[in-house]
Amino acid sequence: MIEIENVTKVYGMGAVEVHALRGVSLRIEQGEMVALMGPSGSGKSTLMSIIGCLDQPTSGAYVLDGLEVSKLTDNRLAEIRNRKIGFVFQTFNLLPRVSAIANVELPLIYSGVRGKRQAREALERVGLLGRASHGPAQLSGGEQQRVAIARALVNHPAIILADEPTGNLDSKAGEEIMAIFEELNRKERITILLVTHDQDVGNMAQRIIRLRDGMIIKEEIIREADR
Amino acid sequence: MKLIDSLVMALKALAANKLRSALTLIGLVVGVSAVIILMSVGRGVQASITSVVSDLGSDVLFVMPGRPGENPLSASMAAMGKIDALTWEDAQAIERSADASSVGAVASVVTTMVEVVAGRESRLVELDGTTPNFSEIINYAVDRGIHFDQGHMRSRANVVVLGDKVAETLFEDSDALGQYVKINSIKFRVIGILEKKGSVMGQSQDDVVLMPLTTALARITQGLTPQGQHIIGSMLIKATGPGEVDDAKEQITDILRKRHRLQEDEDSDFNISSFEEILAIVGTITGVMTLFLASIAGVSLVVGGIGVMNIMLVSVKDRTREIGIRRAVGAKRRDIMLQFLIESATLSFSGGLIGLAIGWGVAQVISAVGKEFGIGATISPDIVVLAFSVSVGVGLFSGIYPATRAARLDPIEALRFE
Repeated sequence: MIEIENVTKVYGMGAVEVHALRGVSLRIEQGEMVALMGPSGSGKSTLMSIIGCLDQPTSGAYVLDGLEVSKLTDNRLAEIRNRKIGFVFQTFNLLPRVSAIANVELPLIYSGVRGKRQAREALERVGLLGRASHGPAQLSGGEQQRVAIARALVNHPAIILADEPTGNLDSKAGEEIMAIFEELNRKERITILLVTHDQDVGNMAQRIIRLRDGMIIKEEIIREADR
Repeated sequence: MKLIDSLVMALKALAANKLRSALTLIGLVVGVSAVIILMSVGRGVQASITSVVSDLGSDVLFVMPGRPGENPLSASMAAMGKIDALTWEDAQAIERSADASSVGAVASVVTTMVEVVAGRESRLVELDGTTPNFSEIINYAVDRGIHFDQGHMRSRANVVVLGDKVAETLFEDSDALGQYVKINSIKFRVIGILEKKGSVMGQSQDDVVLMPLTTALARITQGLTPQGQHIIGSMLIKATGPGEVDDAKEQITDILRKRHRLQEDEDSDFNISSFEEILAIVGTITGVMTLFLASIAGVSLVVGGIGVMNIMLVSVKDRTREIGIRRAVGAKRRDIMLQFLIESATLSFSGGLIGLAIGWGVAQVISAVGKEFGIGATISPDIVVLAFSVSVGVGLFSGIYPATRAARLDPIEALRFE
């Protein structure tokens, strides 16, 4: 569960201050699938970074699964990213020179378990076990994004954060990716937070949160979550 | 995160950039091998000089003409008739003096370069006219034949003892013993051949001819002081024991000052040094030389280290996005730091290892080839440990700054980096 209370983020503490977030409050339940939409500069990427524990708010509170994370040390944040959060990026962000399976293993290395078995399981869940030894250059965009999802899944996170996951894909591959997210959310009750420009992608979520100028301007319920 | 994972990661990253890694290695390899080679050669030279000098024994004193601090060439000035020459009569006075209780054997030496001719062969060599006890003091043993004795001295016999190398070059196949050589057109009979002694710093110790002092004085050098005394080049004096060296030195000084009629406040016109003192000076000189060589080589090691730092900085820049990805999936700052430190450590470790192998190999070759010329290379464990640990240290140190930069990267910016 994600609870955000009046979070602000100010960049550039010198002469020019950029107020990326101006007091955002938000609550996302375990097992929800939520889309975060808004034009560029609306602060959605900043909010995403804060929720993903890559960044910390200037003020306000962020409680993740009952843990106040806005005041944690860098090392603790890294541990939370490792255990609780899976990232999926628009540009896939796979390590270019290593195989699909090695990419999926990466989070395991940092949690000190390093299990080929878990990595294979994760690849199986995205239907790519057959290409485990291929490098990113040998995979299509859709396949690369599935490897990235497998990497996000491998440590059994509570939340997957997907930043424009279909932005670099053709519509067919995009639909496949969305189908995977939808299934993960429905079957495994993994919380999924999507950042997107695409209304169709947004409509796959149960709820759309619209941001503008660092504030939430609107919330739309698309459908009830399956509880 | 486990260390083995970091190591595997580092090796993979280095393997991914083979040419770059290899070029970086070369800098360290050159540095390490240069340190090892130069220090080994320095040590080798020191060892060979030391062994020669210490052969002579610690109870031997060396008396040379000339006031302290004067150019050693003053010996030849003395030979040209200046008053402060050492004479054979001085040596005999020391030997006979009742006041010289700590003095054992006294050998007189005249040294000059001469051309020795045998048949069509000739060779320019050092001629030592000495008293018979000279060979005992400085450990010249006769291999074949005999050494000259007091009988030869008294009769100023025209006999010589040849160094191994002289005998070999002048008489190639035939045996030199019993044959005749010509020096200054005078015939000398070869009565003995010296044992082979080898070379020191490219200078053969076997390129020498010995003859009785009286013969040399009468036929070769013919130097006399205005008082008609026989000028000699130096004296070798053996004290009665290692503990008597200082007393002997004092007694010799008293006798010579009296004989040379020096005033109280006048400096002595001769120098007495023990071989121990000479050894100390040689040790200092070669030590400084070794240090000098090592520091030149050390500079190349530092340059190698800068190469490592350079390549690591490039590597960090190249892999900014990778660092962002790793941070996003849970790498801590210290994991990133460790990853790059291990990379630079691996570079410097293998560079050190290869440099060590090459340095050792080259030093071995120098030893083998240089043996003829008395140049050795002594590889001792401390040199190896020093060179290797300095290279690893330099490599690690060069890795610290790039690794710190990598660890300090903001994950969000790193992820956006194109």
